[in-house]
Amino acid sequence: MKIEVLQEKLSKSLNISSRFVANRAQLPILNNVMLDGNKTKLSIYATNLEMSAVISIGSKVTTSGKITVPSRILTDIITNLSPGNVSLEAEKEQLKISAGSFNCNLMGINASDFPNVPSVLSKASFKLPYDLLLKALLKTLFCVSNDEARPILTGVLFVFGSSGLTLVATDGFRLSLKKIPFKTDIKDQRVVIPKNILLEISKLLKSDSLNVEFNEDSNQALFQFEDIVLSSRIIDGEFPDFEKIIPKSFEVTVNLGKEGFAQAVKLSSVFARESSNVIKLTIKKDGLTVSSESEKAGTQTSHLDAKVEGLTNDLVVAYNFRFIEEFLNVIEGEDVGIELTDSTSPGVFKDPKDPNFLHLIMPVKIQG
Amino acid sequence: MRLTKLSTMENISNDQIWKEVLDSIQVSVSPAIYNTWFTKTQLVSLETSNKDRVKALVGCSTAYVKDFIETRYFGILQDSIKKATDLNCDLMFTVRQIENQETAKANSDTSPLFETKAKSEETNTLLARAKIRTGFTFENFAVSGSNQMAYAAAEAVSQNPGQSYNPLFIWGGVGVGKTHLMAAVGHKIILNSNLSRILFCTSEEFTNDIVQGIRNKTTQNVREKYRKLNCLLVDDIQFIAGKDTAQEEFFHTFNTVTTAGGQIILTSDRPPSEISKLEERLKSRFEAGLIVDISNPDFELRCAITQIKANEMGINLESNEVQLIAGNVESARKIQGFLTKLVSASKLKNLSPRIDLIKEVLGKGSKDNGEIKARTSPEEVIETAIKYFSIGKRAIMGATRARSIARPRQILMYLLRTELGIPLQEVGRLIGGRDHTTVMHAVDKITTLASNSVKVQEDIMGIKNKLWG
Repeated sequence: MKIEVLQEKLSKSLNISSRFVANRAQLPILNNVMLDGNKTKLSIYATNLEMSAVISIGSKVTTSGKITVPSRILTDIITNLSPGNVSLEAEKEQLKISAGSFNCNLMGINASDFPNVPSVLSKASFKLPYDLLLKALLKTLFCVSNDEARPILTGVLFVFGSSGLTLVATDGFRLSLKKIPFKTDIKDQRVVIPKNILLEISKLLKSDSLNVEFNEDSNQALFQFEDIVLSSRIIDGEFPDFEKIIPKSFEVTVNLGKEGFAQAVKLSSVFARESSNVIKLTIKKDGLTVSSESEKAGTQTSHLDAKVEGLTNDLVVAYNFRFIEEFLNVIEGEDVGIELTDSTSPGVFKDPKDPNFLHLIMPVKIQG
Repeated sequence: MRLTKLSTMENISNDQIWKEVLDSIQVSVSPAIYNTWFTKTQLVSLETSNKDRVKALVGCSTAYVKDFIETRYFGILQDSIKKATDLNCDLMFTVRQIENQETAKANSDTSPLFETKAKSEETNTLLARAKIRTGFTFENFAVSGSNQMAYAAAEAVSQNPGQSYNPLFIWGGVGVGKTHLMAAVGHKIILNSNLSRILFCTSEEFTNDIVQGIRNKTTQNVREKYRKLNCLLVDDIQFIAGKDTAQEEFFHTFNTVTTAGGQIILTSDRPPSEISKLEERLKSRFEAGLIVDISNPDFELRCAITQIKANEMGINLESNEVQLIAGNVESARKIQGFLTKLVSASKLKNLSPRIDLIKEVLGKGSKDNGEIKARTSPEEVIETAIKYFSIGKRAIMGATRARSIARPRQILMYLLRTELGIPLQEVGRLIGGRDHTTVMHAVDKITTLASNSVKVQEDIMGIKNKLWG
């Protein structure tokens, strides 16, 4: 392999691919990226056996060929070079890098040991509206569980139906659901995509059309945009029946300003941190009181004006303030809508500006 | 049940084979390769296609692993499986995530959001604190004519504790479901309102608490415990009769709780008016609420109870089997006992609880309460039966095979066998020197008849009532 590429492009691509390389893998080749010079392109392959990335950049290929080299070393070298042409030349298991006055011989491993990583999408792929998907990911990803003991909750559920795509994420304490209305031919398909690949997509996807393919045989999801092809495993298993737990009816609705609510929650969190993050919302006819207490520090309350409907008796509900905070971070409008039945059933949080978004938070149980 | 057992057994052997295969591969590849690729595999299935060939389906955690093993290690895998099974092997690969026990357990645990209200831990702790048995709910309480009234009253109380009927006094014989009904009310109240100040106790516990209080000079604590309750459920209140201090204390507790709007439910084996040595003021207070009685379950109700209990124990019974049991066993507790016996018998003999086994277990009679009935001699039973049917002793002992004589004779043999537990041969000897096979046939016949003939049921109950009230 002998090629010439621009440092700017190569450096950018290696930054991306390095996130797909395994950290401290036992098998040395998994710490490497594979460079493949072919025709007019240099393709950079990286995988950690959970997900993979193939990034192609235009280059001048003199002789085609492949080699794998340690990702970290290569990235560190390339980012520190000055912009301009970089020449890469593979000879046996060594990569010769030269740029201006810089010369380097980097030890690599034969590319034939590198795992097979998908680099093209098949005809079964379809387009997703990237802007809507990005918004939906923003509103769901924060709910994904980190608990590896329940793998099914470590991903986002994609439900395709006649009305479009619905994204659902939950960690067992709260749940986010966002609908993306668009026309699709896929009917009734459900896949759970791991959080990590979605995080990468939300970072990398800027403005381009997004192609997606779900391959059930190999249990893989493939994403393609710009010159990047990403793949990931699909999580096996039965996603909990989320439709069942979304309350069908409610008794009390509360509408209030987001900013004031966010401030009150932030304030109450100061004391709540010492009492396992619990803050109390007391709903009265004329508004909402946010209060928290700490055995050491004391107590505090802040009253907020709110439009309350359907209330018969004052209602006290306790929540983990982090959950409310994170919800408030992702809503677009100026107002927040809350629908409640009692102090033990999940509360429905809504963004009046976005009817396709729904958030559930399980209250913390209070004694007495 | 048998099916799942088979498949788990297969899994074990598959796992073992796979372990052997992996062990031999571990020797021939480097540790890094082994840990990276092979630890992420499992043997999904192993089928023998021909005499000397097996088909192995290897599951890999991701497509990357599958591709790599399929292209690189096909040969070595095939060889190792061949060695482990002594059969030639066709290999297939698939993507399958490995579910270990830990994740399986975590998956079965539900997180708070997905918990149903009934299962929530808090309810269980509340139930435990109130000392209410979790199994007693309205859902598994069968209702029929004999307990409909009590059920309706209990349901009403559970909806509006302290308002509908206060106190609710449930009385009835042994094992008719008084305690179940009362506990169900408690359960429902906890479910509806998460009420924490609710307590289920027997009148004996109440008395003991008072005695303890007097002895340790902590009567005040005892009062606190009972008088602050929102709902007090007292089982077998008749035992409080004759205990003066306990009655006085209960009187005050009763007043405090009811005036504060709390609910009181009592059970007893007889109505308040018939409890002797019960203080007048207590009697009148008990009578102020609603008094409902539950009589012995009728045949249909026993069928329903049998079905419910069988479901709880995980046995599947056909309707004729249910009727057979309900026709021969007269109270809810005995049904429970019978089913337990049936399960253990079916385990012991490795038979499914089918009609033959049920008959066999029924035919053995109830030995557990033989103590009381042993006092009844076989002669008494024979005398009573003869009187009941108004047939001459000579006729019943004789050889007549007319149905009007033979049926009573069979019922008599059935009673001797099942109620007194007399051996078959001995029963034969008592009834005019008959063969033990004749007795066996009679017991079998009546067992079946008891499930579908009302006449026979009535006869059996009638004789039993004459004998043991």
